[in-house]
Amino acid sequence: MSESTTTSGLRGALAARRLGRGPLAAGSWIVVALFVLVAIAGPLLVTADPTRNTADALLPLGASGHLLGTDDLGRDELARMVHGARPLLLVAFLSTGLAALLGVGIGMIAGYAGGKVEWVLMRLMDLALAFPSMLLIILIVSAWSPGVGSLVTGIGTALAPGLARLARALAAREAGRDYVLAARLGGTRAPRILVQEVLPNMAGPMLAQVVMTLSIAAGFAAGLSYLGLGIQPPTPDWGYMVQAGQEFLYRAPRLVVLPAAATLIFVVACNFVGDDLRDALDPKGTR
Amino acid sequence: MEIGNQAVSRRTLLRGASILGMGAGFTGLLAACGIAAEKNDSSSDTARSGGTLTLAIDGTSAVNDPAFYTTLGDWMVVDCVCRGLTFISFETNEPTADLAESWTVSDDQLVYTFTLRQGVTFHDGTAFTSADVLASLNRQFNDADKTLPKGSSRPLKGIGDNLAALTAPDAATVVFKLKKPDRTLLGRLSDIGGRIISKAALEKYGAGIGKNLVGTGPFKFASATAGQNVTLEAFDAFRLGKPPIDRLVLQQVTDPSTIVSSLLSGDISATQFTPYSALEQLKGDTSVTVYDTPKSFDAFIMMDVRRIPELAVRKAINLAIDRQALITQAFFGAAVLPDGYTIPPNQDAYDASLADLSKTDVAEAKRLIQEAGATGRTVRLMAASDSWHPKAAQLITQNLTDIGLKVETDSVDPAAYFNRLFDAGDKFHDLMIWERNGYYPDADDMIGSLAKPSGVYGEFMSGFNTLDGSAAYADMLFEAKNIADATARKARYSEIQRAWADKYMTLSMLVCASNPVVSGTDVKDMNWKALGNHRCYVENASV
Repeated sequence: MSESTTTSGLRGALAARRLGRGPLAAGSWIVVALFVLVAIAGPLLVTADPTRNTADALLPLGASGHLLGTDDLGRDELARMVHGARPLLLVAFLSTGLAALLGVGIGMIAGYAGGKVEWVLMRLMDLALAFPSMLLIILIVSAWSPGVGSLVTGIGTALAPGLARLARALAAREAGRDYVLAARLGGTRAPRILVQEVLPNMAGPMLAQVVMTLSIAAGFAAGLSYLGLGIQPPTPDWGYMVQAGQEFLYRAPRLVVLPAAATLIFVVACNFVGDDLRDALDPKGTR
Repeated sequence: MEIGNQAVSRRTLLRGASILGMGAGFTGLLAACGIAAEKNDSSSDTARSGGTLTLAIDGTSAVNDPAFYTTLGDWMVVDCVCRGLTFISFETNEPTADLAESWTVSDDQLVYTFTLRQGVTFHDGTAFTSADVLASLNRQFNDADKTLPKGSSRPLKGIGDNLAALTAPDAATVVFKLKKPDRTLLGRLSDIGGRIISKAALEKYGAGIGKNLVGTGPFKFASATAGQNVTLEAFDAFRLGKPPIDRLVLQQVTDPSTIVSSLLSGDISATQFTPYSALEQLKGDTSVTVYDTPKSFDAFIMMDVRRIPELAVRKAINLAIDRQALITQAFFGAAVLPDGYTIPPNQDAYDASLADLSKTDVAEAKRLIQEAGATGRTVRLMAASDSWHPKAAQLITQNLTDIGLKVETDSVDPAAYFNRLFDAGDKFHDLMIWERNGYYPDADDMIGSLAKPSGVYGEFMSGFNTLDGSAAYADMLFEAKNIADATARKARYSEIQRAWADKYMTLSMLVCASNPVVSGTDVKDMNWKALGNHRCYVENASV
């Protein structure tokens, strides 16, 4: 293990101890963890079928056997809320993962290689950034059938350039450092230097940015589902549930408020978690 | 970031934004709970001249051309700007004289001679003559007409196929010579495709006439913005007198909750695009009138026989549909069972003895699916994403799942949906949820179009034309529409419907539903029966 990796490991341990110190940060971590837990384990606990239509439409909150009532097609709202967490979180995490993979990869190569490679790659990223993200995503999603795959591809691709810019700057800074020079002189090949030396030393700020990107991805996923470009009904999905519930805004506002509030809380919590991560990894920064 | 003299950190901004967001959400909740639902109920009980009537429409592309379909709203504009030789008010289903003052029909039913009304002027000041009739109708009959825009739909092109000659012996006479008798001609000329446009305007604007439509109707074109609205002004020289209102605005409103709140606030005077889910609420509100609109449109699933070739599977799908659930949960009661198969109850050829063609029998459906070896097969269902369509898609998905099929669905933007219906290669072309409105209220416009082995339904959507024996239906339908005796005609249409369903089952009827018309109580003398068929005849309306 190189010295630089050891240093970054130490920095990571220190950062971990600084995480979640304020009530807001701690609360946000708990909220995100809870959402993930609900997405993973919730469907095991709530056994009602979220897609089964019944004649008991629009039962109110607290109706017998339906804690959150039923929707316009008589489906258990609690089951739909719990099952609806999964597609949103799945799309948010996978598309963020894809954006990170693409963005960090491209940015690192550009920053480390410099010269013409950097110029070409970053101009491509500039071109992608010049396109409004939502439009780019809709273009990509519309070209495919709607579903998780197209959403992840669309959102991941649209969010990658932002991460690539940061990754390029960080990689360029690290590329001029002595430990990288030493690795080069030692005959280590570029891919290994990037993965084993450069990446760990830029991981902190990148991680904070990736978590911030998660909240943006969740927002896009919900927005696209709201527009009918996401997960298709009858599969429950918070974005689509808001759209479908709109016409019952006066009669059963919970059909809009519950999925909208859940999406809002998750997005805001992700932002605070990203903030907290950044602060923990960069203690000299402004809190 | 600095706002004024104060530094604002990202965190403070985020916190503020989230509080603001939650506040907005809470306000929405209060509004939804009715706390913010107070409205200015200053509507007058007395009708008055002048003012603006605002109709909510499904959309506008700012192209209003009788030969080019874009949205229902754009064709409602055509209704107001242009009128035809004949007119069906929908208050009665009989064609009456409009720009044609009278007509005669030869004994062999092959020659229709129209005497045109004199003294009628177009909005551009030119006089109405037979030359305008020829210029307008040739756009429908002749696909090489230079004033046709690209992609024109030409709703009357079928008449053109049966036309031996269209002539104008003088400025006040037009003669149709048909190849075969067609007793529906007078009714069909009242349809949107039969509207007469100023020849001078056609020569001036050519294929761009849709943006500059000039007719003889009660309202003249003033302005249009795609995606927003079309504004029309009362025409002083309308042949039946200047309309009571000064202005007619057709406003695009697609969001269901906005339609409801705009009706209640008076921002919208009337609409037939009322969300079904809001009907009960609106019926209980004294500031609006909910009309008992006839259940005049067919809601159905078209099955593509190229994708689902087994008749047994198509019959099983038809037997699986829980139509009562559709009536209750997708249409909120504004629909009835399709007992007359494709003929809605308000039409002459309605025959309730056909109710068995749309019965529900899940056990039999399962048996048919098993017998056909189709258990577990994936079928794909496509529906538009507006109005009743997505709910119907979800209900039907469950019905089909219950009989052993796997269902994949695609909810499609309405603008894109119409185009996808034409694409037999579309991945989701197995089952298509769609509807047909009776633009002229006759069986010929329902079963006559749906069972024809050509055109949108028989060719592009269902592939009915690829099945053995389908060609005979073109002749059978043509023969049926020419039966003079109403009882015999109805009986023949019933025979055709039963045979079509039994032998082919390319169309599963869901329900016959209404386009629920709602207006402010201050709106008087609006032809709501026409509006319930997406026809806009509001020349007598006042606000």
